[in-house]
Amino acid sequence: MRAPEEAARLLDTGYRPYGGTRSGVGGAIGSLVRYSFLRGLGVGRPFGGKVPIGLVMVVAYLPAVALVGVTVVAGDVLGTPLEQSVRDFFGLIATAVVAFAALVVPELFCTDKRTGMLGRYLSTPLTRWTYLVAKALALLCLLGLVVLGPPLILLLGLSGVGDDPPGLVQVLDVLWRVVAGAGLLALPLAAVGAAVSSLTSRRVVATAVIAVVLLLCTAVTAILVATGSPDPVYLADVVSIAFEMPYRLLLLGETGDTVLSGVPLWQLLAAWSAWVVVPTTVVVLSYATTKVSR
Amino acid sequence: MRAAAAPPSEVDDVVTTRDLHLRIGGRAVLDGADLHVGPGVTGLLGANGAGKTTLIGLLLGLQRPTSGDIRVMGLDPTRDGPRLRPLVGYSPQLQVLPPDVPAVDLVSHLAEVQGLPRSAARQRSSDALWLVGLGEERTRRVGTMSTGQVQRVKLACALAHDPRLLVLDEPTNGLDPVQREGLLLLVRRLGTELGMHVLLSSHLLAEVEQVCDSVVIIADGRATSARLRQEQEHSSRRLLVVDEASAAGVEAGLLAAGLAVARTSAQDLGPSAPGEGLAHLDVTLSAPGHEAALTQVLAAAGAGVHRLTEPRHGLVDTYLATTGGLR
Repeated sequence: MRAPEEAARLLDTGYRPYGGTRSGVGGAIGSLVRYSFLRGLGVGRPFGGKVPIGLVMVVAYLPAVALVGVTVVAGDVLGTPLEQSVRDFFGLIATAVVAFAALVVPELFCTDKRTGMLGRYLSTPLTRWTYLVAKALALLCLLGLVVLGPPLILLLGLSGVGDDPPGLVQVLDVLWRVVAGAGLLALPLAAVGAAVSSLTSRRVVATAVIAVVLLLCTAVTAILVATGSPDPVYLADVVSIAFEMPYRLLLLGETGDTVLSGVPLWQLLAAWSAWVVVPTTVVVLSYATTKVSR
Repeated sequence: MRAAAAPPSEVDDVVTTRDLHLRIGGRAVLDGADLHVGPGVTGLLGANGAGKTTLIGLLLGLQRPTSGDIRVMGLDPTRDGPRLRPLVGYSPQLQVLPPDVPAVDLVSHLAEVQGLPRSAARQRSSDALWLVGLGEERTRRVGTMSTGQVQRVKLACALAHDPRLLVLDEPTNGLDPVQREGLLLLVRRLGTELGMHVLLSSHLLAEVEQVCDSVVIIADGRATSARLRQEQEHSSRRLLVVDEASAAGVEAGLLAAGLAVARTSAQDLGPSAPGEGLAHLDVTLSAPGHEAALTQVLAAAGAGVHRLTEPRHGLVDTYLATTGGLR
């Protein structure tokens, strides 16, 4: 027979004081980034919450995986330089990126307002501004998955099975431009999504408005140019600007065959900056005036 | 790491405000409020719209006052908010939570944001949910829970990171009488057995009276503080209602026995005045033997006693006096 102290175990000590360490503001931001990132991906949500995001991810990643797979099986069927393939690929995933921005950004911003979580977060070490920083980081991570993941798969996959680029230095050269291009592509789209989402607590409304804004920008400016307006009108089209930036970076200033190829780089940069700064200002003003104590 | 504030046992003033003003849209929500909240369980009373939730927002640093000084456990919420808020557990009035998240995940996440490591947050969220009576339900999604259960999840969210001050904004809203009783007992237990200071905002006098040691009443932008339990425990008054015919004899007997007694007129008593043929006597017991003497006098006079009660502590009186009565 075992001694009583061996036989007995205390399984439930009940609620008791906590005397351990506390991580402060940095930990709070890290925790919110992780939680928001996983929520954005549909982790821990019911099946209905995973479907749209899952579909977007399939649309974004399938072409890259398929292209690499075809190249492995059938050889270099594209016949284009790797750099050109990656550049073209940004255009291929355009639909996925826009849809992702419209579906994920409202989930990040609207849901907290609708479910009272914003007030709860602001009763922690987070302030309005550190909350926004955490949300922005989560948003960039999520957008990075779509805009950066597929080109990286394509780059690493094609460079692994083919001869182009010939060496590690060349691969790294293309890689940094892919990373920078993806960031430039993601920022204005994320900013527009965040601005719209900051103005409503209804996710569906935000999703619809973001989709309409992005599509209308493209359609209206295309019509204006087709009817004789000069090329700079395209600077009102956030989608075209977002996708032109990786083109310019990857082409290193060469003029290509894009709709904005005639627009000087400085105009492009100014318009891109405006599409980032103005929506970000809207977000900041919106959160500065949001009442949260209920 | 704990913020450098004094531990609860060393805190004399949990919350103090001095000449606190807050104007919103030209309206003075707080107009020179001088507030003092001591240790223990404190009720925050006021009519709907009196500014209770707004005051809580100021105490948490969610809003800035127009002018005046606020100290919560020695810290200024406006300047030291990120240091102060991990020491505070806040359960807001709003009764919505993310519906698609299991209760334990939600509580754990908020404990993590409050600074606890992930493993500790997970463990403590389970403990907090057991404490509020949702141990068996902790993996259920919040959207499938009843209003009473959601209120308990909100309380667990406020508790899990082991705050020193618990701020509960209308925690019994939407609860049936049994649920309300259970929640109030739990709140009292948190303030007494678990050593947390509790600030309970409510517009219901009965529930504040039931669980609080003291009360802060907000009215017309000003705050009035009062102790409750000490007065209750040491109450030396008895309210006596007897037949009018025997009232004179009872009064004389009580005076002869050394008790102070005063007859209260129907006009003073207002709606609570005794009916026709009844007299209302206000008796003061000032010595240890007076309780027994009162019983003996009533028995000797053969008086028909309709009511003999100990006044609770006059919270209604305090509240009506502060708020200007039935205006």
